[in-house]
Amino acid sequence: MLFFSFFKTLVDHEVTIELKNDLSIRGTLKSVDQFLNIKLDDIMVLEEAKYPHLAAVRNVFIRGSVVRYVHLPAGAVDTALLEDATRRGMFPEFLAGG
Amino acid sequence: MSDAEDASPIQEPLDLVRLSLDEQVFVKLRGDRELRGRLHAYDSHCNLVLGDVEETIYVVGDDEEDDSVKTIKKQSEMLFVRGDSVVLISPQAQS
Amino acid sequence: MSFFGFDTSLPRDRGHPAAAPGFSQATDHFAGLSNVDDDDDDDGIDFEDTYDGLGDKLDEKDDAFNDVTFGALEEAIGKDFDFHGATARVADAMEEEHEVFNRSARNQSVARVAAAPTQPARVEPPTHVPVLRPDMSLWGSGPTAAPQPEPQPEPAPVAPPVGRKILSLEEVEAQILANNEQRHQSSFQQPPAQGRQLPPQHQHIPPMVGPQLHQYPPQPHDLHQLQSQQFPARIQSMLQRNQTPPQVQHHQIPEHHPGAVSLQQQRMQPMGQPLNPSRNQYGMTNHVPTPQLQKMTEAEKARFLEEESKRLKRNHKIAQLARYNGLMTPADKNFITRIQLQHLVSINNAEDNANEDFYYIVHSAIRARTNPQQPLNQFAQTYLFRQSARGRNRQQDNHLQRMEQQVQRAVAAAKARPKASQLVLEGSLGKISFSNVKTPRPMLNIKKSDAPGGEPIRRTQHSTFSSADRKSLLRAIENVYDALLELEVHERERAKLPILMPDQQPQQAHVEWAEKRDQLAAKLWKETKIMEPIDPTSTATHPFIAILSYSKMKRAVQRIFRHLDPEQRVTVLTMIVVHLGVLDVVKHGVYLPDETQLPSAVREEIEMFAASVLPPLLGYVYEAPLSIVIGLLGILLERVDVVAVSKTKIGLAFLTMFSSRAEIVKQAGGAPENELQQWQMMYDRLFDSLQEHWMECFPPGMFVDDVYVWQFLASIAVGANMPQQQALVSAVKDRVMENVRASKTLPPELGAQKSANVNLFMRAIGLDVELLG
Repeated sequence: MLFFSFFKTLVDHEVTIELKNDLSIRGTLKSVDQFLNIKLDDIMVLEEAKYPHLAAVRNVFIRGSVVRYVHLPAGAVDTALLEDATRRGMFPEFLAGG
Repeated sequence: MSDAEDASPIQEPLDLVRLSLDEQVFVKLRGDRELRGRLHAYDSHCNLVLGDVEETIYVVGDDEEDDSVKTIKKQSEMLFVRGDSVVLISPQAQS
Repeated sequence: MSFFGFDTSLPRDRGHPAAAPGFSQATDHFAGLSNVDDDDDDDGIDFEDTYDGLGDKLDEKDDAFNDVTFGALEEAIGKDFDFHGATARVADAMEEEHEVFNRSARNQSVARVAAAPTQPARVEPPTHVPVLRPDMSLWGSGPTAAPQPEPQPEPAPVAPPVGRKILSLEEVEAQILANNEQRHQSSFQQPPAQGRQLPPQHQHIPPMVGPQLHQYPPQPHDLHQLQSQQFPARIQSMLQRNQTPPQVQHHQIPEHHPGAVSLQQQRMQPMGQPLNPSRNQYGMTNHVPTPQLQKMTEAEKARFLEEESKRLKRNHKIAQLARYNGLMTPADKNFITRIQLQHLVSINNAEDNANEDFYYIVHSAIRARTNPQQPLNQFAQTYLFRQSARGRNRQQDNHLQRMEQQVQRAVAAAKARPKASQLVLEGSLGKISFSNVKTPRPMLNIKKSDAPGGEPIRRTQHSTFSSADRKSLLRAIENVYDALLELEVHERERAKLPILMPDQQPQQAHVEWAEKRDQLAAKLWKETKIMEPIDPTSTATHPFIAILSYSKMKRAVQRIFRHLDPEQRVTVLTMIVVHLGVLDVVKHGVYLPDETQLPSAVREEIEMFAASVLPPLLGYVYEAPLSIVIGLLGILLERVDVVAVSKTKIGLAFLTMFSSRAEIVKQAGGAPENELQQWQMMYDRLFDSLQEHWMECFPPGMFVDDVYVWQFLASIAVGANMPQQQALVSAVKDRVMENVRASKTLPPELGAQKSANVNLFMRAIGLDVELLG
């Protein structure tokens, strides 16, 4: 659930999603679910010429499994907090409430 | 410093990755891609968040004659990597 | 009476004593049918041919309880023995048996029923069972009460195997009861009660009824007649299947179970196949009351059929619903329920939820805080302190501001004091012509001193550690984090404790909590490895200093500090001061001769140190008594190469920290005279050490961040006596001039900043950049 939790904090931020088929879509993250499926608004395809069929699309739902990368705004990420969250996630005995 | 090892034996592979948290790591991905960056987060699926990443993509020349490998490099300040692309994660001593 | 030792399992599984021939004949019939290989018309069945021998295995040792089970046996059992009543006692167990049986029967019928493939014979779903309570008054009459499994001793002689006309058990009973109980006859003749419930026996009927059918061979013309009466096909088929002639009065049970009928319809499409025992059972007990139908008027028939079809629909629905009944055992259901409950509990448990969604909750709490005064929740408090992430200098700025404030306080305090030295100072500076800052005198361009003496330092990060060491160091750091996280979780537990009034004695929970806290804090302290002995002869870096070379340990220092007592804090400070020279940020923080900028990795570490390690140390020193400051500076002068340290940002930060703190204590007054003297000695030693090296404190280049140097010089200047101030001024005056000149070439904002930095120093010696030009 770490990354679900993480992505929830990025809602309304602009991200660029690179899919496994090399398609890159930039847009505003509108929602995410536990499978890391993602909904993007106001999208823009980075290589418009290569994928003209998406020119008219305003928003998309992206199945989590086709994502390769999500480029994030560094300013919106609290890395120290993220590292701690990772540490906690890896040690279930703390999850039990210590 | 030896008691550090005694205190927390490696229990599972991901514990090793934990040592690299907030450190530079090298990540090999499917599709002849490599990443170098600082590891900020990971989970059991090998989903990752890396900071100050350099991505290297190896592309074999299109031409059949030309089998030289070209490299493309890209930068990203903060990158989420979906775990199903990850092949390996390795600690990378700073050079 | 040994055959009364039965238990509730199916009768066919029971053996019977050979001593009761009549009875065994009846059983015989059944056994013959269920084995299918008996001809319908065989006359007389040889017991020995069909007896399965199970009777010999009958356990008779519990027969002693028969009295208890069946009532007083002293009275001879009459011909009116109520088999039905006796059977009803074990009805529940038999129902169960029936279920089991049905399930296995279902499988068989699935294979056979081709006509209704989509509805694979949902036989007798459990939901039917409650509907099927017997109407005792009706069924007490007994023609159909026969199927009870227990053998009846009396009728045996009454129904001997007589040729092909063998009377079944129920016939025998019927005869007996018909004689004795006239009132039952009336109920027997009642018109069919719609939806009459099937007595439980009929659900558990052992396929005994099967043989009976064969005792009444089909009479085709009768059947045709029935068919011509526009019976629904299912009824016709039923009739055919059961081949029950209408005239067999006691078989025409005025009962009609809709569920059974519909089920039969589903299951009995294929005709002429060997009868499945369960079908027989239904066919027998449920078959349509033909005589009654025949007697009915057309209207009644129509109504009957209509209701029949309604019931069918309903039963079909129920069957549909009950399709998966019995798939899960109660244990399975319990298991699922437990999981669901657990889920609910964990959703409602805020703490668990907070752990699952830790990042989001804390992150939102920090970001959502519009008003800085707004209290943070427990989580966020921990994290706000170190909100500065790598590369963002908010905290760094805070730290610098604090340092600057401290220095300014020192300067202000010094200025408030009447100073005889000022005139002289002005005189010394007055020798310099500031009139033409744009063309400074060449002679003032003193040759810039390169970093002297120091051999080039190889700056490979963590180069002193082998990879094995590196791993163990990283592990040590993670252990620190484990301990830290554990302690922080425990700190939050405090909120769950009952609130304690100031005058109350701590309760047991509080005591335990405090004990655990101390224990965890001790663990954390141990994990930092700070108490490992310093070995002066060893070349190896002290473990604490070694792990401090990693940025993640630097980050942790601030958090760790909050859990340390004052003594431990001094220990941390002392440890760092003692090793100042080998601290990575100092060792690598020196500019090499040809460098104008430090490598980015080093800069990052320095920033991290300044952002994360210095603030808690500063916080401590700025509250510390003079004696501590004296002690720390003494150690520093004793053990560390001050000149080398002063060339680095972090090194200077420590020197500034001590000198400004001492100056403030001094100005505030009240410090013991001997401490002041001690401090003066220390200060003089420091000054002397750095004499000739003041300019080396500056980083190379003009347009670089040098504010920390001016802060340091200012903090030194305030405490300096006249000759020292003069020496200081003459050492750095070039730099002053360059900076003032440079500030004028910069954009106004940056220029103002730059001259303000210089002015910090100038004011410390009683001057102002304004005077310069």
